[in-house]
Amino acid sequence: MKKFTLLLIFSFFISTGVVFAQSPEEIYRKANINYENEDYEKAVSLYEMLLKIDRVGPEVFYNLGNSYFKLKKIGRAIVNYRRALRLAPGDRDISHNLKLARAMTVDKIERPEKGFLVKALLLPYDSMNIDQLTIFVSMAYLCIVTLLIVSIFFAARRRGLFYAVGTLAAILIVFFIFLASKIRAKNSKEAVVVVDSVDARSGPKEDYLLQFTLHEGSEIRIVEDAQDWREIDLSKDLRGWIPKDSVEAI
Amino acid sequence: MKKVLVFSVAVFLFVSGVCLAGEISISASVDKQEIALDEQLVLTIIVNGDVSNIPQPGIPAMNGFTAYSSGRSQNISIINGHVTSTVSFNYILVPNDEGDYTLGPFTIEYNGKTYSAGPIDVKVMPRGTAAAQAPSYSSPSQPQDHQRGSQKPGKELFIETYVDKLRAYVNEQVTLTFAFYQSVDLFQNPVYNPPSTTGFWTEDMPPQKKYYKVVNEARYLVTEIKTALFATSPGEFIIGSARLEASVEDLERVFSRNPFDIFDRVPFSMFRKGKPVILTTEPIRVEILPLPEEGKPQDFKGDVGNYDITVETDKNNVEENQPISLKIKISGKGNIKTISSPHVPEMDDVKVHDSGSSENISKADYIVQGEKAFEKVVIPKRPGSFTIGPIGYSYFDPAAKKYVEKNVGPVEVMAIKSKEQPAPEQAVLFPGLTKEEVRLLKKDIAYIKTSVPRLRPRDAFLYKNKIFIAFNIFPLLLLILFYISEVHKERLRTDIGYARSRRARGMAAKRLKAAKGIMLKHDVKAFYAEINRAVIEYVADKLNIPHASITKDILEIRLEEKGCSRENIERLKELFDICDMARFASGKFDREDMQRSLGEASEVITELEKRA
Repeated sequence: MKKFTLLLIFSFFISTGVVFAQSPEEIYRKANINYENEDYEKAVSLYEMLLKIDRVGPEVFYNLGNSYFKLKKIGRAIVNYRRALRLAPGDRDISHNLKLARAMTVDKIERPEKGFLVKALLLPYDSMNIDQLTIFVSMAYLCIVTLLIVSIFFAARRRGLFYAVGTLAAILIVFFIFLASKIRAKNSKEAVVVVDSVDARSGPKEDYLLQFTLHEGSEIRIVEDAQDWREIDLSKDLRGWIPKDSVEAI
Repeated sequence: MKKVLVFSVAVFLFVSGVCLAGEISISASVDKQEIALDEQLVLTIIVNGDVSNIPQPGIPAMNGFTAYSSGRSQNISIINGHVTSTVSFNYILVPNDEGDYTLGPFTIEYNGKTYSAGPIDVKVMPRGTAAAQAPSYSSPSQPQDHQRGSQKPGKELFIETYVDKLRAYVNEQVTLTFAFYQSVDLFQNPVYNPPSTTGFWTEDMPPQKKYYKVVNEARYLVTEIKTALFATSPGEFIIGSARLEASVEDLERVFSRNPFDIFDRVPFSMFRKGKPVILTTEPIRVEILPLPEEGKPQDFKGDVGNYDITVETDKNNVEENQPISLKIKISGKGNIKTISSPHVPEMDDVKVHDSGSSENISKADYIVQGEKAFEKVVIPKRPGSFTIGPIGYSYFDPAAKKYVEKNVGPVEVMAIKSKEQPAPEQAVLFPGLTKEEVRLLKKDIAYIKTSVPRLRPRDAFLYKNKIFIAFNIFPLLLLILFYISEVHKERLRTDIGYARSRRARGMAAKRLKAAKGIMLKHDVKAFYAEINRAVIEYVADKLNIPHASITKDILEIRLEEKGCSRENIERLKELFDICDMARFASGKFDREDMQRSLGEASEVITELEKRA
């Protein structure tokens, strides 16, 4: 008996040890090989393992999204593309695949198209991730501080220096707002439907009246979390309750 | 007189409690003491006094009634310079239930005293038992009360609500009708408050219907507003009471017999006043039955009504990978908006995408009906013939009390092999699916990223990194430091007093050090001269006065002004005395004395430094 227990513990250590002995980079490499060999199930489980041990990057989410796409799990593919895009907003591959995945969804939810001018003005917002914006804001701030220090010692040049400081401060404020709203967007609760179809009801129970039906891949906003149900919000004033596990938060 | 308290209660359709006390009095009255449940009561509270600002009386909660304020009127008379004002506050009370009720007492506070009137007893009798009397305004009738006319002789205005059925299934249409009967002209447009319909999905059904109807030999103009209700869950629901606020000509005023009431006797004068009337209806209890479990089809999604289903395609022959538009139409009577899409069975080698739905709702004959069309895009992935369907759809028919399952199709589709070069983009667009999306469906996704990136925790953002934060704060500290030092330098340059004061300590220390050197050579006079100079220059620098103009008296005064303690000043003076003695008198000073004086001097300077 004792021997058996020992053996059990030992084998447990071995089995877990195999996983933990691998570095995250190795797991990533293995997952990629599985993807290349078209073993998408295995690839998914390896990428998901990276998520579990919290070693991620935009590439991990993107590759995971691709694996789900190949497995025809469009909802999960969209979730991971959206996650990847948050970390690398400028990446064209990600936005291309996301567009493709969205085209395969059932529900067409209107996405307001931005005008050309708005697009141009928001270009830094749309193409930079949180860290890049942080660095930009920090650089602007450091320039301002440096210029102020210089202005202390070169009193004669103060006027010109202050103009430069003012310009930089304006840039700093705009980018700080970008950064703050990006962090806000990160914390906002968005989710994607990951089951074939889900009925949104007027209350958190099966007995309530069916309001509308959502299909896999629909992107929604979570308004409230109850025990096993979530209140969700579509773009227009559509609201309803759906079972919690039918969507995955981004 | 204060001792006299007159209290009178008159009972003849008029009850009032009058309380005279000094400058103010209050009385309350109702227009009748016995009313039927379908009538209303006018409560008037009159406050009379020789003061200009009469406060509003407090109205206690009145059991069994709903009270509405119908305004106030004020009358000020000045007789021999004596001002008397009378304010009457009017309320309309609508009884909620039969029984005996006590209104009031009504109180008013003025100058710290409380005046009260009432209480008044009122009896509410069952509906339709009102004593025959002058025009009265009544409200509601029972739902589907077809004998309402005979019960309301002489009513000029009344309203009612009724439903077409008191029992219905979940999601079955219940039509709620609100009807307003009027046989007189209104003073202004009435204000309609619709009943509360909690638990129902409502659908307004315009237009308002207007027609004439003779009820009990009186001709009424009837205005009807209909609303369709669809219950969202089973149970018992109450449709609340509707309320209508109307205003009619005040007949009592127009035909007043009072010969002095000239203004009101002119029928079309500007001073004509409307009399507000508030009408309410009884709440209606509706029972909502759950849909039977028995015989519920598998694919039933909760649609209730009576529907037909059809399916059509725009073409039956296409090249492979080209889309076909499939349109499934469900039409009939019921809650069209909640109809959900029928399921199209899945097939290998054929892709089916939803591309949206459209509704067309009409309310002919006050029944919600119409058509909902679901559009799907079907793309055959290989050449050959395909059978789509049959497509099943089921609903519950409340009239027949059973579930109905209908099937439509199947639809045959032929796909032929596509020619080598892709056909130019088709001009046909499918609703809900843009051209670009149709094109995109045929593309493949971009390949995965193979180079190994830097992997890190998901929440590891730079703005949360402590080293990064410190790195950002450091230059700010540097800036502050530079700024302070620059301000200090600037002050040394421009403010002589500040500069001298800052330098004083250092200079004094230097001189004391020199004195110590002299002490070792045992030159008493030179030693004390040095000590004297060190202390005097120190004090002069601190006080920012020229060295030459220092005298003991000036020193004393200025140091006191600066807030030096008496003790320190005395010590300083003593030190100067010793210095003078050593320099000018021929006292004997050995090394010990000098040592003591040196210590004393540096202590005094330290003490003064603390003050300055």
